[in-house]
Amino acid sequence: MRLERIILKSFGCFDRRDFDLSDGVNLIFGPNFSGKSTLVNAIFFTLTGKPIVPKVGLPAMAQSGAASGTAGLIFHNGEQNYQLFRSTQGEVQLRLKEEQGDKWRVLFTGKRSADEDLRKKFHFSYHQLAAATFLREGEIFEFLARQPADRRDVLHALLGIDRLMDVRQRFIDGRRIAKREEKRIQDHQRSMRVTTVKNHREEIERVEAELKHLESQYESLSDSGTETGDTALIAELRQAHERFQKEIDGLIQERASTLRGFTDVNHLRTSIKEIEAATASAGGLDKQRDKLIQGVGSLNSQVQTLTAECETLRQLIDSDHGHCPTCHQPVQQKVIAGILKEKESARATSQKELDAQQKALDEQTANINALRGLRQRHQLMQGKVEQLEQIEKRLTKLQREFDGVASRLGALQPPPAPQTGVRSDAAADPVQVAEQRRQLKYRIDSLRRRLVGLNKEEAVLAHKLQELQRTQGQADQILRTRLSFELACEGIDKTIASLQHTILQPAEKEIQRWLERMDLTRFSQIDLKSQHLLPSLNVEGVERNLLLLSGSEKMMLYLCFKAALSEALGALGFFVFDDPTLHLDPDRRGAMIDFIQQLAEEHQVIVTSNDPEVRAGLPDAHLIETVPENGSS
Amino acid sequence: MSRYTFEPMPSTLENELIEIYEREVEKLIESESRYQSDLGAAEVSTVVQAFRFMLENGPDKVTVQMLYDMINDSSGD
Repeated sequence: MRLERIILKSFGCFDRRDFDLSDGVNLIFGPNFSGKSTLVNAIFFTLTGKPIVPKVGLPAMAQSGAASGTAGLIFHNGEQNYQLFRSTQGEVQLRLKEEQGDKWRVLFTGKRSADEDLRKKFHFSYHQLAAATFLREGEIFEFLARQPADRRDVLHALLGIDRLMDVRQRFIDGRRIAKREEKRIQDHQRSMRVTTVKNHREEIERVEAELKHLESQYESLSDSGTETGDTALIAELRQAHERFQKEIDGLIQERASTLRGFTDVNHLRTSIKEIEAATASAGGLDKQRDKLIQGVGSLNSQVQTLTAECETLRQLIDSDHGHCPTCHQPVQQKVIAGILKEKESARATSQKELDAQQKALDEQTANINALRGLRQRHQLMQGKVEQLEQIEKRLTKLQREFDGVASRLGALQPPPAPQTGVRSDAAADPVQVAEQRRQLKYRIDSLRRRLVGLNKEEAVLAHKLQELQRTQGQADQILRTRLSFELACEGIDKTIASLQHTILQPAEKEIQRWLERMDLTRFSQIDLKSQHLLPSLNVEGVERNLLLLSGSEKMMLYLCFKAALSEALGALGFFVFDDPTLHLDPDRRGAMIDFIQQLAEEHQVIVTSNDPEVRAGLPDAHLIETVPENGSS
Repeated sequence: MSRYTFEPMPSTLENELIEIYEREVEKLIESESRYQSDLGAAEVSTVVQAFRFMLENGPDKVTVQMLYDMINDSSGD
């Protein structure tokens, strides 16, 4: 890239100015406050969009009183000429000069988004320009004052390592996901561990073999069965036959028990009728007995009264005084004796009648009790009759079923066996055959169920095995994924190391080359890596760094460092140094001028200075003179 | 995170960087036994492709999941 013109409008101390630049050395010469640094800032700002002095706001770069300022560059890159303008409000415009004529075509206009296109198109970065292409006033002191961590950040930004670190972090995050996934799959595999696959297979084979054997036995029993082939039914009917027989026997026993004391149910019914007749004829017994009880009571009172009267009359007769003890009247003995006799006669008659009545009452009471007994018996017998009727009904039904079973059994019974020849056991006893078949069937069914269960378990195991294989595939994949991420991370570490080596080592050699060209051979073994860009070197056998050198040596070495770094990063083709000879003694100033001239042999160099010796030392330089306030060239 | 804002890298340097990365990854897979046994040329190619994809698009535009899917899908082939 070769810069051809600086175009300013309301920028810094300039109203509207253009400054042409040439190849080789361009010396911007003028006193203090004449705008030399403004031109350096204008170039930097146009290319990067940022002020060369950090922490200066963009609006502050505009001319005092102007709403906005613009800086622009015309430059040559490759085979093309470009115009690049940038306002202090952040707008960017890039134009390309048409091959025919003097017209400029706008390639893009924009703000922040344009910077990316710009950087990609011209292959430079802010850090490259700041660290390797430009020297701003007082920069070396700021560089030396930087903390190692800051220098490391600069180095990382310069080499693109910070970007690599961001990429590395993404790979680390990816590896974390892969590890998590790997653990999940391993846990899943552990949960599906199968240990009994072989046993199941063997068990299935064993059960299948046994089942085959039993089915064969079952078939052979079927072949040697009865003619009707229905021995199982015969067995079943026999069982029913036996059951019915037992039930019938039980009912007969119950009937006999119920009929105890009677010959049969008819006898029982006759007895019931007799009881009914007896009880019917004894309907008035209770009334008769009540009447007898009243009669006995009345007679008993009468006898007691007569007994008392007789006793009174006897006392009168036995009295000594012949007078009534109550009324004291004289008593006539004979009359009283007559009355006593009548009374005693009446009493005897009443007593007889009482005895007769009492006897009749006792008989009547006995009859009534007997009647009650008969009634109870009647009820009992009536219950028995009902019970017997039920038994008869059940007996009749059972008998009918029993006869049916017996009839079917008779029809199914095999014909009598021949008297000669040998029979198998099964043929000898169909029921036994049926029993054997039943047992075999039970065993076969049981084995079949077992086989179904085993096959199900086998299917589950097969599915598990399939799942295990699938999971193993996943595990292999995730292992490769994790290792890929680890490879990616380690690759970035190696790349960073390689990048530092690739860029810093040539830079170190380039510094050494510049130092030799400037006859500064007492500096050797330059090291930029150990102290993160701060040049460390061997000075006549003693390890020192830039901080420990003299002021002029610092500046010389620092500019060599910039030139070397620029070369190592891919030289842009120009350098801009703001007052590089400041604070240098005459000898060093001369060496610096030599350095600038040597640098200008390969690159465009723009230098600012207010030192007449520098101007005199660079007689062939393209001179841009600036004056305070109204600068001119 | 760096205190410096992310700047897209000039494409020549980017290409150079990718070449360095590819070379380093290949060296690693040849020298490290743990990579040799399980990874091959396909994985190296995917890793380099992912690296290039990240450089071209920037880490902010490439999510971890995108990166994971890219590498995991390739590992399953």
